[in-house]
Amino acid sequence: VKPVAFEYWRPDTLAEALVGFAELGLEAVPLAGGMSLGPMLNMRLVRPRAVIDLNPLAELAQIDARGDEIVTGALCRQADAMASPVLRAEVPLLAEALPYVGHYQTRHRGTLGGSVAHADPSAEIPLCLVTLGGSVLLRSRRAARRVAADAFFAGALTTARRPDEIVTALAWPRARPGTRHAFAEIAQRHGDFAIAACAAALSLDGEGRVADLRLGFGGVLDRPLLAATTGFAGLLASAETAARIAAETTRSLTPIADRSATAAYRQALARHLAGRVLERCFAAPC
Amino acid sequence: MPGLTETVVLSPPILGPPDEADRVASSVTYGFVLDLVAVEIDRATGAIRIDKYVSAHDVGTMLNPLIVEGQIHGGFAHGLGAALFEELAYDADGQFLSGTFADYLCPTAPEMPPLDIVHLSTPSPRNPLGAKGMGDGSAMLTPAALANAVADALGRDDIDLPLTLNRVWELANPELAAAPAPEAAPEAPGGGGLSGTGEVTLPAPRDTVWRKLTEPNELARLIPGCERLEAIADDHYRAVVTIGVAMIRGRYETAIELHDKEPPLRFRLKGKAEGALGFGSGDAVVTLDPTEHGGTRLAYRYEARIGGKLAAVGQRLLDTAARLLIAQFFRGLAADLGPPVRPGLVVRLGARLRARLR
Repeated sequence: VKPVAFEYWRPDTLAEALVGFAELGLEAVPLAGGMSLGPMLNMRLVRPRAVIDLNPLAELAQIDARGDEIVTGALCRQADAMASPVLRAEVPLLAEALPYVGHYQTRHRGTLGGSVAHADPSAEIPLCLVTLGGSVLLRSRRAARRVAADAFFAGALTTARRPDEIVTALAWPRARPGTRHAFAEIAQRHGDFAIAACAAALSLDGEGRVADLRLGFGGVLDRPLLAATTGFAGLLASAETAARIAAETTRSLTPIADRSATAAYRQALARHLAGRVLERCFAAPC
Repeated sequence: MPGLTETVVLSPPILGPPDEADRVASSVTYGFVLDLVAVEIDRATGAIRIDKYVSAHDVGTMLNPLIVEGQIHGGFAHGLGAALFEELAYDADGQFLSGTFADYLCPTAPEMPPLDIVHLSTPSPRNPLGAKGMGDGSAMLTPAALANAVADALGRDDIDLPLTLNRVWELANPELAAAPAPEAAPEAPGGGGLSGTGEVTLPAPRDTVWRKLTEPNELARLIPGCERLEAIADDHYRAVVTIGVAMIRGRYETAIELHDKEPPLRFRLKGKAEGALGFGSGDAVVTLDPTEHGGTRLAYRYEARIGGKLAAVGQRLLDTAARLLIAQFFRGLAADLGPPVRPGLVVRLGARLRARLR
């Protein structure tokens, strides 16, 4: 397995890189960590004219606190995000999910922005971003824009990113005090694509009843799914409530089926995982 | 070479030529292995946890105990892979589906449970060293031991390997596995098969829509990524089409045929495509109905099969690809049929179409 012949370009500045994407559009692919792009190039699924290497752009690797958001540069390595005290404190859901992303070795190369731009339906980082209601920051030569995570993911490996744009950063809402988080997934082996994953962020009121609830599913559809949870406010945090929410949010799912899992199995897993993360949230000391 | 050397030639009587029934002994002596395994199964996920695995071996005289244990561990890892993960999978068309290590899963360090090895050493009388064959015993025994443990735990005797999560879940929950999916899943499991249905309302009378869809030049403009379309016979066209989903773009030589034409009511569309990323064939039935407001309601039903590299390694993409390409085609068609009845109609059509196809 060897890639097709391509031009390799290593721009010194973001402005230069953006000129490249403006000129080449679909014929250029951005290289961040290369943990997915590398195999796809080698299998010749991707046959670009040019690979534009974003790795020299150190300004894209920062983690910044801006108002009520934590903004992670697209090139922030997954391992660096795991080690970041700011992210652990302010975006605990992401911190809990990151150990499930690939393997120890791949996390030192793989980036937060690369995972989001790649948009694998099973990927943990996109699921966390959608669950928390974060945003994707994009830049082209002409303009910068911000897209809500829920609107960014259009399908398997398909996003709202235009050919002349790159993902420059992700904006994560800071966890409000008292918010509880949990993440769980099932994969055939450790580090494999999740067959199903579930993430939850919720808060309880003073009487132990559900106040805010955000629940997301990964690996089940061809993109991360934010469940409709408006009807559950006011329910007492209990095992019964967890089971009820898990059943109701997964009842009408129409999961994808592939060689690793049938639709029926994915649905059962989604329900089971939802129950598990909700019970963990309810039980968490706060 | 310095030192003493001694050469002995031995011809064990058991290694004779094949007998009348064409049977032959391929080894001077065989080792003996006994495996015991205790597993727990999570009925909700199908996960198997190996609580204890004991492997007892009689390899006769151990010439090098460290190598013996290394061989047992290696054989056990192979056996564990065969029992839980490894599968040469093919779809109904013979398309190989596990051609990379992303699809053909081998056990890695985290999947290996601790292995307790017990030795019983009975020297073989068949050779001067007292040694017996060993090494691959665990590779053969581990799948049997794990299958028997799962069979015992679940009270089933219909165990197929590998015992993947999905398969164990189905064994543990026969009533859930047999229940139909909430709605037909868009993809047939296990292969490059795709099917779907959809409906779209177009802002033009039926005759116009019919003409757009059945005339080669109109069709060439509407097919996303169509570079060239030529008629090679009545209702039989050849085209070069660039199809791209995300970064995965390819050029395909396609053949398109129109069949069973009943103007302006219905037609059948058959197509074949071949390119560097694979090949595919599809069959679609399109029906047109007039609406009350002078528009046309178009309904379609399609089935497609995809093979080659894309089906083997890009299977997870196919559903998205079909959905987006069809949406793109009808967005183009709706835009082409304009001017829109009201401003913004095309946009709303696109949104409604996307919602329906979702």
